[in-house]
Amino acid sequence: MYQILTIALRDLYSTFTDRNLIIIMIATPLLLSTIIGLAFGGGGSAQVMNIAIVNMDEGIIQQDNALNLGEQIVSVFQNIGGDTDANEQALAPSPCPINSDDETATANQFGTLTLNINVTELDNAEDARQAVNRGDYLAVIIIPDNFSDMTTVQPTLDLGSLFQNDASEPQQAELELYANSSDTLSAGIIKSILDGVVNRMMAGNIVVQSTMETLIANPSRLIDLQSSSQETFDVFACAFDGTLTSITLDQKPLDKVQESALFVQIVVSIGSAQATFFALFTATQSILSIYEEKKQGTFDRLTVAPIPRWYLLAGKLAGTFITVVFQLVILMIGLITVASVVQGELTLIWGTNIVHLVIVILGLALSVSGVGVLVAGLAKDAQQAQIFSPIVNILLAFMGGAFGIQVPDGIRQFSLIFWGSDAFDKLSTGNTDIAINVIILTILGAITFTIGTWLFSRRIEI
Amino acid sequence: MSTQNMVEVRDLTKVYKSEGKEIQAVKGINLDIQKGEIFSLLGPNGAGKTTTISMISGLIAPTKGEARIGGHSILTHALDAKRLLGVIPQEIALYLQLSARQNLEFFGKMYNLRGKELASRVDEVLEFIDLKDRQHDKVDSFSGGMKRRVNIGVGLLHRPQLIYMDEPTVGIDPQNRRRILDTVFRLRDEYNMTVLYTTHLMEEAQELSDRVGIIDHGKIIALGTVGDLTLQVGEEDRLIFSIGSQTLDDAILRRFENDVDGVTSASYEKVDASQTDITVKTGDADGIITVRAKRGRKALPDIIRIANDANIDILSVEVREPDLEAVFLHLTGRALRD
Repeated sequence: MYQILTIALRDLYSTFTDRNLIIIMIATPLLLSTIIGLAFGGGGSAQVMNIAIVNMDEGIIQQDNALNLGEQIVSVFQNIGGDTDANEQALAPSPCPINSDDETATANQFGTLTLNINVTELDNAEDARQAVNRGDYLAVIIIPDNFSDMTTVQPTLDLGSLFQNDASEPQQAELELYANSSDTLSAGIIKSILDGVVNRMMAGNIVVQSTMETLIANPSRLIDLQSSSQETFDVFACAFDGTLTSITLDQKPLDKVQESALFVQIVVSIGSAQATFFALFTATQSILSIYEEKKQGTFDRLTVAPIPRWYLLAGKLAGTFITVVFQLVILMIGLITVASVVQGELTLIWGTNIVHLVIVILGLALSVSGVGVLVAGLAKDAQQAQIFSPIVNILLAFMGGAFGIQVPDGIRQFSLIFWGSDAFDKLSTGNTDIAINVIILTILGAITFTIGTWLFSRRIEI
Repeated sequence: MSTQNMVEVRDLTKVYKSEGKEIQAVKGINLDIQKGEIFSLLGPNGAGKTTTISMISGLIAPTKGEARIGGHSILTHALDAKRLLGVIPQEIALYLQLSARQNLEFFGKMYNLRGKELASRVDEVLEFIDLKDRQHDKVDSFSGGMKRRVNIGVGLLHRPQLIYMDEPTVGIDPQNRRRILDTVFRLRDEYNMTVLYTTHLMEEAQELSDRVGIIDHGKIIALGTVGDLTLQVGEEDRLIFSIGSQTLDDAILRRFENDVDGVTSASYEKVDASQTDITVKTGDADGIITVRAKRGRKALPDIIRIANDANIDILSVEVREPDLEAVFLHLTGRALRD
């Protein structure tokens, strides 16, 4: 065991003291992810997203005033999309009575967005879901018929205690976000906007129910709004007026939320895929270094040492695994740094669940190392492996979405890059439901590692 | 096994298969190497030296036969046998991106050295190879001779009883070559190690060895001390005269044989200039007179006088005393360097 670890650590030391290797392993994926992130997430270029909204909200009448929160949401998204006609038709919020500055009260809080969202209103929820499945829309927001009814709570206190939590049990209203899982990046942005809108409404128990498995809604802040009069409408107006920050509970202005989400989402998706892609090369090169050691004579020197021969292979395999783990960890930290620099504040893009993050990295490192060993084992010699390796790695990267090209789900799931990126995506949104990802990565790693080791040990006559 | 033998080799055979054909690289070698001796395995390139040693050191498995080191079979008790063996390969088998010390520490750990023991052994070896002041420099920055010294140092770390050195002087300058040959003597004399040394250089084998095994085409064709082996070709010196394109009467050869004390035979032949290694070559075909004499240098003046009387211009003279080259030539009909 002592010798196995010694061999593994020597490989690790050699790898991470080689300046050229570090440039390839660490600097390149970081740079690529940053460039892609800035180009698509921070550079102001417009991105067209087609979404649909099915507003079935029947609204409510309270003390002769009509209230339809569903229409409010439609209106917000149409504003983002720049649909001025729709804006006029939408139920425009009243000026905020709390804010005396009319100009600010009517300011469009979404004016700085660089996104271009095309909003289409549909009537039927099931048709809308089918349209999403067909790829006609990126996502559909389904607002239930009782949305306004469930969101607003009947008064139990007088107006003076407007923001006091009600002792009565509030009922929960659900918004459904049904998205196409082939574009988690854009769908994530839509969810961020919807979360922002809901948070801004501050008007009751609204939960964004995401039906795409990678989008799990953050628990909405639940504040009961006691309303029964015109003041209610005024408060709703305030919900869309960023100047009323006293009730926003440290949430960011919506444009900031979306900018952050876009860049971070890109870095999370592309960054994790790029990290895995480059780690695949590291794994293959690491195991192939046995050929180099054979040529150099160091392998023979180890062979005549009084240690079992399988120690040599075990040491090399352990070295490959540890090197890949280190590379992934460094890249994860590097991407956090990049995101934090771009965002201007510490941005933990992978979430804060360190244990889950470590589990994903270990599972991913196992599968990446396994594929590397398998490639080395399938190749007849080092030269053939040098040809196989880029082909396999690029294919896996393409399938897994590392290059940002959309491929069908059925194909994506054959790439370990998909399962790794998907797990990182989940963790970045606070979703810890990564069991399936870790299981698949571990099984994939165990199988490829075993077969690859068997083949490779035959190749090098250990 | 004799308690005096460090190495015992019995019927060691290696057969390779290549494109459906069997190539017998080593053909049933038997060999004993005594404790504390320097034993050289001498033979031309491709004779089977490295294959033989690779089997003895456990690097490759023999097709047939067995080798024992210190009584431990390399087949059945490989780890015990390997603990007694230090290998110094021909190539620089080091991690060039590591320092001299890091290399020594790494390989020391492979021999299960650790902690203070490892550190003190590394210091000791650095002292021995005279590289203490450069111990933290990357091996990549060393000269060829320094790399070779580290290469030797790695093989000595665990204080082996048997050291195997595979042509360690190939490609290095005379000064470092001298240093390595002196090291071999030190290993035997100061550390009481047994040295198994392979070379294709007759001069090295002759200078270093207590005993020599001459190997050719996978077989040991001669085995013994340098003195024993040279006796096989007799005690005669060979005097080689180059006369260029001049013709030579047989009568002159008879005069060499009859009129000069100690001369036992004289012969003349024309050889292709490109095929001879005599010092002076004149034209496409050189006339060579070879005279065998018991005391060659003493006979030389009389031979030259007779040649002058016959108007033969002697262009060069070479006196070859009995050596391993002659033994090899005698046994195989080929020069060692062919």
